[in-house]
Amino acid sequence: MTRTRRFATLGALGAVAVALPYVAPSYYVSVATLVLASAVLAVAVNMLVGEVELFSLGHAGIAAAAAYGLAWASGQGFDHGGQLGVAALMTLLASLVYALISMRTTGVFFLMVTLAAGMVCFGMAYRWSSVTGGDNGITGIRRPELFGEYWQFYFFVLLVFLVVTFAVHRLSVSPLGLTLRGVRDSQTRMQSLGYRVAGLKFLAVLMSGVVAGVAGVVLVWHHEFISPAFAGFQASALALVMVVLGGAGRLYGPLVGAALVVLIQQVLSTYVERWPTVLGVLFVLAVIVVQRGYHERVREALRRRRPTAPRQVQVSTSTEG
Amino acid sequence: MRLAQRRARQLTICAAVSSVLLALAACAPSESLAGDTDPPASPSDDGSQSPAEPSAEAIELKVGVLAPMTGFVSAIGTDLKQGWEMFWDEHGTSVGAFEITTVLEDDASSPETALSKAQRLVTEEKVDVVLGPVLANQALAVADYLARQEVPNLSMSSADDVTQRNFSPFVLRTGAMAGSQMTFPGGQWAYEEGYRTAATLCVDYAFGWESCGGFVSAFVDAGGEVTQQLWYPGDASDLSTYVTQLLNADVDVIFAGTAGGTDSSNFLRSAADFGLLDKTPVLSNCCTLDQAIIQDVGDISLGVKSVSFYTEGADRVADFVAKFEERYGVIPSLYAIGAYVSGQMLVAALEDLDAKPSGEDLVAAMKGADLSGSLWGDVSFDEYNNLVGPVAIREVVAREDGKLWNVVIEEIPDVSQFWTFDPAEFLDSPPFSTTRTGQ
Repeated sequence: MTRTRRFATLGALGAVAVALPYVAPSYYVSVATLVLASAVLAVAVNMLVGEVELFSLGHAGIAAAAAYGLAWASGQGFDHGGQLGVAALMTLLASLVYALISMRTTGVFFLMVTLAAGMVCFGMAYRWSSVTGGDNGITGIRRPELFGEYWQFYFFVLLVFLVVTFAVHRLSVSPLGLTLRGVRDSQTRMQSLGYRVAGLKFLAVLMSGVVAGVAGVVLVWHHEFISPAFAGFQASALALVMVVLGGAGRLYGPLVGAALVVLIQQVLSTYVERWPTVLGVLFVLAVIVVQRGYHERVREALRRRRPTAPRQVQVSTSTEG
Repeated sequence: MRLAQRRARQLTICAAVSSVLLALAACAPSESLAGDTDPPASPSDDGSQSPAEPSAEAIELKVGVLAPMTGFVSAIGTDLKQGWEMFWDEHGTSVGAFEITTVLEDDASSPETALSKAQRLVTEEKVDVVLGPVLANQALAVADYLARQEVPNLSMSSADDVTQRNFSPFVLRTGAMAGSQMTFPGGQWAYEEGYRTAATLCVDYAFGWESCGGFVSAFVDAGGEVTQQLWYPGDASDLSTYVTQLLNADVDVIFAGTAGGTDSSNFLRSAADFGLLDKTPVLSNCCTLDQAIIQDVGDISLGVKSVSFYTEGADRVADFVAKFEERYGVIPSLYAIGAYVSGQMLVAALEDLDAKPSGEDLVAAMKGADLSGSLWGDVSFDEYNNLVGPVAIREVVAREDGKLWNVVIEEIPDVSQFWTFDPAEFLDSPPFSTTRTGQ
């Protein structure tokens, strides 16, 4: 029964997503594109939160590395294939660095290390002005003709989001995902079982970094512009805010969070001058009111991952009680 | 078994969704899907888009204003909005055949937000022209977007490249001068005052590089020598270490190019505390002695000289300043007057038109209008759509009522963004930075 309902919900969501460009004005389609693109970055952060319970405050740095790679290559006259190549290279490089420096940390130390790495990325974007254009950023980036129109690009980003979400979902139910959750639940036990915990974390950060790189590419294609703010603390923090708002660790959490943040930032700000306050209040509410519910639910759900549908019902009712 | 089955099903669903998406993307019409990006094709439009049929009613001309109402430069947004509103309140929104309406958007001091808001203004509000934004990175990003949409942009930003390396026929810098343009005359003036050696202190990002770049280029070109250049990070809260270094520099004049925020106040306070202002003459850029800073630091700014294209104590703007003060209780900043003048220039161009101009035509009409005697002085636009006009050496004095403001001590007319250099050569060289500090 729940499964049917779930499929019905998914189907309805899918129909809305597909119909959107045919009914909504172009501005709202491009806001939806931004929601999806931001959600991809949130998925990267959410992966680490859900699988290994590592909270990153620097993922915008990896996204920016990819985006700057693409922007720089486009300025050098590379074709789109070459641009993507450079972006992939930069993603790999940045993810490797992130993974190497954070693989032996947990909790708040992981947070600090990723924050520091993010600040290094920001600093490079800001100061290395001969390559990055400094504070002025790089203009004149163009996305490929294939999805040059706003609605074509919308479908492209929708596809990217679905593929990434599906891949992350597959990962979480794979043996590797289970092992990672083992690391999350008890590092010492995994160690005594003979797993190399640091190596596993390295792998997790690396995979999450690749997703962040994908996010960087779709985001820079969306804006067709990049400046150091892309790599800044605020961008990283907002990605984490999205994850928390949507419910940390949940598969569709990033989309919900990204929608909330982007809509407040882009749409509400037209009507409410104090929109940052609204965002702040919402965040505080999410942490205070929803946190326990989410937390328990996530724990339960993850502990009995791949449950049959009725068990999920039990889980959700138990959180209400 | 079940797992394998489910996996197969999931894969099938995924493949199906992807192929449907691809098919949709490929089959959909090449123009707008919701029929909203192509105004002439849309029958729901009110007909004002079509210049062919003259209408008895006024033609609506929509101006989108991008101002930082929140974020770290929100004070600028308020100034800009006040200047713009005051102009239309005074002038009335009816101009010749046109009725002017304004849509204000908060760009949150962020380039990404400014871009999205510009997009909203163009696609949702269908504005005919956009004023702003102010920050360099915002201005460059928005100008790039608007040029592709063929919507004219009245720029309020001082970023050199808006009208230089990123020049666009749709961008007209009405509300400001280029960053280096407004400090070139400072270099020449310093040399003519008899100073032969100089040290500089500028904020370490594009605006500071351009401020210092202008001064150093003209000073060295005139025959002076720059012996020391210091750069401080934009978020530095204490500038005393830099001031101490300048105190030990054996030079005739010091040029300070600050960003116009708390850094400017900090610089002036430190310079006063350590006796730098008494020891060596200091010349600063526009923003170090902006009204907000003068009101903040008070008497220590008395007698400090600066170079800018706007002087609140100049006779030319006396009327405007008096009216603005009466209305808002403060002396207008250069963003307030920038928005006001942009309004004036728009009106000057629209008065002679009887049908809605295309983006290029509007820019051309604005460039062609008579701009002598504007609040900027006798100005004109160069072929890169940047103002050529007077820049003044200013000094802070006390007004009769005790308020401090800048007055003109010398005015240099017809300053171009290329100073005396060859435009082509100027544009071929890289923009100013810490490694390229002079032309």
